[in-house]
Amino acid sequence: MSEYFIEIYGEDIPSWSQIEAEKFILKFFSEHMNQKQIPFDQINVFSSSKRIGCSLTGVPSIRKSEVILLKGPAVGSNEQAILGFMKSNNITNKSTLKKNKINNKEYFFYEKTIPEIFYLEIFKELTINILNNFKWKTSMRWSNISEKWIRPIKNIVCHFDNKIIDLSFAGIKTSNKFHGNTYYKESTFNFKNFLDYKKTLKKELVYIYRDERLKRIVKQLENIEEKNKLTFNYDKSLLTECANFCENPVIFQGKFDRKFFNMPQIFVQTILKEKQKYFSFRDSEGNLSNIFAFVANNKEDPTMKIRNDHQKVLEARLKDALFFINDDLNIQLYDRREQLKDIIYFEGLGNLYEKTQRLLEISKIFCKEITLKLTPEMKKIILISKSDLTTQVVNEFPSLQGKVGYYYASKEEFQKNNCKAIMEQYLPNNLDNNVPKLKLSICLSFVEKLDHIVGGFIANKKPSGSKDPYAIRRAAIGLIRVLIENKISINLENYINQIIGLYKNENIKIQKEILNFIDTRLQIYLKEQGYDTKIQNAVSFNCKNNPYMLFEKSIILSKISDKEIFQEFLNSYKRLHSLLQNQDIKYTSPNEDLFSSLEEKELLNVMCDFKKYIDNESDNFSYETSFNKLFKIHSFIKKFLDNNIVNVEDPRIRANRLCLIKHCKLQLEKHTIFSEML
Amino acid sequence: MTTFQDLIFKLENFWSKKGCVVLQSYDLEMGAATFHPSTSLNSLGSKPHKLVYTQCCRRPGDGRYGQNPNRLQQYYQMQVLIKPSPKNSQELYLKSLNEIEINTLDNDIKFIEDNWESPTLGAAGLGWEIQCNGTEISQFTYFQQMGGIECNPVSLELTYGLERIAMFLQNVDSIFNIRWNSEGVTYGDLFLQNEKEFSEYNFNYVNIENSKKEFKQLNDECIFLIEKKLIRPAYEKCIKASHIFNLLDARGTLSVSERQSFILLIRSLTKQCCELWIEAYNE
Repeated sequence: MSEYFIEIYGEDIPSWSQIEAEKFILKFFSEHMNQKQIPFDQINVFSSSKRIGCSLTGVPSIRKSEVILLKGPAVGSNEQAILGFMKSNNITNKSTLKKNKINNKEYFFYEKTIPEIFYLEIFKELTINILNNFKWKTSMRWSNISEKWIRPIKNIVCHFDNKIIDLSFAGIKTSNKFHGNTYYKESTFNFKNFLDYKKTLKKELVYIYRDERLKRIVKQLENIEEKNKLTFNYDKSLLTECANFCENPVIFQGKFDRKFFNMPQIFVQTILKEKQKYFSFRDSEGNLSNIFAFVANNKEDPTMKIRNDHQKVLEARLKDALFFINDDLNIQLYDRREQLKDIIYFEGLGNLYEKTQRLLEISKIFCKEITLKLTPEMKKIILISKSDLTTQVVNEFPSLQGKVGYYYASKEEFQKNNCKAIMEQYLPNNLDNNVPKLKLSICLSFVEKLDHIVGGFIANKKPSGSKDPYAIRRAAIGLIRVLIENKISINLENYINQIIGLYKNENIKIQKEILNFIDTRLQIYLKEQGYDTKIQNAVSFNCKNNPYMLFEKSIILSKISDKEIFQEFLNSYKRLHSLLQNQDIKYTSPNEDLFSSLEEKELLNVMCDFKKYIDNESDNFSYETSFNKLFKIHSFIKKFLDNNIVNVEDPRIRANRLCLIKHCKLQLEKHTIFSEML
Repeated sequence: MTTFQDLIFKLENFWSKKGCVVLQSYDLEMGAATFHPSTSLNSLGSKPHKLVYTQCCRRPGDGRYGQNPNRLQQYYQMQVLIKPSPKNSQELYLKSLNEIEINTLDNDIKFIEDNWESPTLGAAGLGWEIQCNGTEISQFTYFQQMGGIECNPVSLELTYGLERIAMFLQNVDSIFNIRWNSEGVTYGDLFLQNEKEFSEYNFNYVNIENSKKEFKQLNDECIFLIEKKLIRPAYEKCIKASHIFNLLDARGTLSVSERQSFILLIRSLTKQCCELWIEAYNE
């Protein structure tokens, strides 16, 4: 068996592009090997800051020549069919066709010889293809090279079956030599096979697999944990990013002055992570430690210079942040509202000052749904909810939006719980999965998200495909969760209309588009919670734009639908449903004078009662207990169906009975659209 | 001890030996060395270039009245431009660091992705910021576009943050304590008062009305010069307009839309200059 290998070595590949490249390589080779029917045992894709590549093991070097028998048309078929078969298989001479019998019928056959295939040529083609069509999010040109790559390439090793695949890309000819860890010294090695390549590189302190680098980082962080009795603040994204900086990641430990704990811990942690890519720790009480760690290529730091320098840089950053905080605190959040006028929200849709006014207007309506009485302080909180976007701290650390507002508002002596709304308006988010629970936070979180979704649609910034640059999809999921997890039953349509009005938009299609968009997100959310589309559709009557109601009813129906009594009811419903199929009848109210059986009368009576019940659905209406009513009606339906023939000869009686059935079905579907469950 | 001026000499000397023409600072206020016509205009067209120079840069908004040890409204960048970018660009850069006694074995050198864009120049490039022990000391960029025109061949632009590097080499915590020469003259001796006065001027006394008028005049003159195909004088007006814009921006008097329209105006003029340049000098 042979092995295919490629390594593209060059200048530092950005961290996230390494992951992107691995995915692309894996997809490319998996698809093409499958398409070209080339067998292989294993595909190993790897990447680091200096190289990306892959090896395919267990690939045969050739596909031997073989003869396959192709079945043609039956002997005696018209000439056109025979010529067509010959043409599609490049057969020029009819005499080369053979005749064979299948089940006593004679057919033409052709013995086609598939020539020997040397996979070397195919891998050469594939390599040229992948190099020229590599999908980078951003790629570049360099020097006078016309080809594009993520960063300049310096070397390409490409092998198949112990031979170099001879080609050139971006001015680089494939070679047999690969580089060691050039951070330490310039060294090259001859490529023999993938196993030897990995062994050699390991000796040279190059760890080509991210997982391996991650393990090394985590192990070193654990040492720090143990030595200092601390717990590492696990951060997958930071770990991955750091694992991609170096081919041999080594962890160093540093310390900063405790005086910086004057500022909120989350600020310090953000500076550590976002500005410096440092790992942070917490002590046994959950407080942030002043010990931090960073990754570097260096094997050691004998003079402590690297550590001391990093500490100095961090100290300057933290000092800067303290300066910003003190400076920011000179202007109160309410006075910062003027500056919000300079921050465009969506192009053509006004500024953030106007947004805060809309938030207040919608909050005044929404607060009633959650029995929240908006105090003057709460109204002020809503109006200053975006003011932190004008601060220097948020300007430097955008991820702290909300948290800065909360901190500054607390300093201005607003009530703490009210201040929390400024921070919690952004919940749930990627980092904190919880939804807000305090009433003002719920209110602000809801109106902020819905206003964002509506604004996004009006500004035509709606998400397309997997792209969601304005996080509108995320806002919709957040909004759904805020409503469902806080058990808030509202019809979104009214709120969307209100906001559209506040945006002074006149496009009537927008409302429908937004409702459909949220509905799709809701369907996906419910599916993730285990409620299939049938259940969702069945409960959607009268509550399509009410996420919580839809969710609650889905839970109940899903639970009840497992019961035997429900299945029996559904069977009878199915009978009603089938009887109405393909009937060409104009439906009217059933005429009691045409009833000839007791069951008909009884069924109509119970259905009339049910109609009253369902049409006047009161505040005390319980979807769950209402099923008991349905199950009672079931006996009447069953009795009617068991004892009466619907499709009788007399067309008037037949039509009347169908009208009765239709009437039943219509009323039952006001409760649940059972036809969706069939 | 490598003094500030030694740092400049050593880097100039290094790049001079690599065949670079050693130029001097351009005599106009500019926000970054990239505005120097030797970089911006030379990066266009097919003609090869190798040059190095130290450019005095001004960013009015970054002034802190000399009170912040890490921020200045006027500072120095050393710029290297090599077109086409050499095959061993990264090695050359690392060697230049060795020349100023920063080596990769004793220091943590990282190349962190940094894709650069200049809205006023209509320029874009891909590359890295280079960190040494956690401090950004240089920008390393492969120009992809200038004045909205694709660069072909691609230039390598290296920008050394001289103050940062000097602070690192001299192990000082404030820019003002950087030793400029071996006679005891410090950066503070030379520029602290300058920082105080210009911060005062930039933030409080730039005459808004006059500056807006000046911007308009520069714009008109630039259009006139473009018509006359006087590319360099026209481009100088763009540099000047860009500085006026930076001053107005620092004063915090531009509304969002005004700010955007100023940027678009400068970009459009720069683009026209670049197009004329290509037309006139591309071989």
